[in-house]
Amino acid sequence: MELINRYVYQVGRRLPQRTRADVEQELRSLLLDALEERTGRAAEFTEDEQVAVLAEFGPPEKMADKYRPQPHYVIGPKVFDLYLLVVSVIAGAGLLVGVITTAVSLLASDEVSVLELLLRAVTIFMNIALSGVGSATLTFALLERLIPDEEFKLDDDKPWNPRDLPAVEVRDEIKRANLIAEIAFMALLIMGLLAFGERISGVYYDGTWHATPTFLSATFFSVYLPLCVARWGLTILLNLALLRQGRWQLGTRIADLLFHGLDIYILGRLLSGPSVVNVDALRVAFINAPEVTDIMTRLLDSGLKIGFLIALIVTLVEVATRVYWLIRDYRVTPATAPIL
Amino acid sequence: MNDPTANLISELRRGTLVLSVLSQLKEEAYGYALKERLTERGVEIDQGTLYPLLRRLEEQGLLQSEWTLGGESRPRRYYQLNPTGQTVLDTLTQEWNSLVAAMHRLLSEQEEKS
Repeated sequence: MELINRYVYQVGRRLPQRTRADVEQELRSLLLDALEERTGRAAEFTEDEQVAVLAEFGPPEKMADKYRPQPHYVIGPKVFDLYLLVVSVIAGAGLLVGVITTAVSLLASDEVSVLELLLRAVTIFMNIALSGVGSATLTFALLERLIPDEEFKLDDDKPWNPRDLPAVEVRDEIKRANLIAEIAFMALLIMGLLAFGERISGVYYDGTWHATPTFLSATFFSVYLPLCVARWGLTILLNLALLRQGRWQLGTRIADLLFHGLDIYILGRLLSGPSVVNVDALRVAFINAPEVTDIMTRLLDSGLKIGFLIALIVTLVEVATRVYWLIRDYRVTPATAPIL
Repeated sequence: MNDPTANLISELRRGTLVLSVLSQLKEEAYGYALKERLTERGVEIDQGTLYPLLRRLEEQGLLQSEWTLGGESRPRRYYQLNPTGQTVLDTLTQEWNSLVAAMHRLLSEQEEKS
């Protein structure tokens, strides 16, 4: 039934929310009817049998197109995939330019507030993304309406193979191996930093070899490390809960969002607060070349801040995406058809 | 390469689909059974065309539908003409008959001339 599920999903994702569930139910029922008629069985259909029936139904994008013949949409199914690709490229480019520009500003100035940096990055991203997406939407909407169907066959003549249908995205599904690996990694990280954090140091030579003080600052141990340990501990607890439940549920999704909120707070503190690097340790490490200390300190500080900034932007985008899917997945929709 | 004759035949048949479908829905039927019924009576229609068409006719207020959970069989959506659909079917049938008569006259004249 895997190919049938993929096909139904691919048709459904191209339809408006209000009719999606109903059309999906009916389409699945019709496909099963066709399979039953062809095979004489009511279940356990082979992949070849599914392929044969799906080939009769035609490509999912065409099927979706027929389910919405009136252009009540701005961008229709025939150009929707290409439109999504173009918009993703524009949004990606906007994000990249925003991060690069902000990173350059960060390197060029000593005193920059986190808020100012974030605002700058978001403004650049929004400028590029909004104007780009707006232009793309307008262009595709015009193409949709002005060019006749027969002259606008993007992949229309491309042979269609049901075996190439992409897998169904199941957002509630968990990957046990990943969760276990993450738990192990987080536990090791916590234990490693708590036990050996103060030993992360270098050596220097002044006739004999000595160990430098730890490269991590006092603020790291007193502020950042407890916050990070708390965050990683929460990840472990969340993963354990997920392993126990077997899938994502509303509660775990909300908890995950709150934990991401903590990420944003920690990254904000890391960006705006004192450095995680212990400058004294660097001075000792480069005792024979003091001029290197300043360069190293600056490079390390800037590099780390750029890293934190990128992590912050990625986290913000991730939170926005998760909030969007949370609202979509848990929005109450009227049940118009029985569960098959 | 598109075959213009095939396109014209396809277009001609497409124009009869709504009437064909409405004519078979005086009694309720689910999608696949309707497709089979049409095929048996010589009207071939793609499944990818028929099923969206049923929904469209329902949206236009000509059909009513109901999910039926029948015994051990899986749930199926059954469609049937409603009173508006019946009126439209009657009108379309009259129109079809006069069209067929007119076309017959036109084509007969051509045959006589040639």
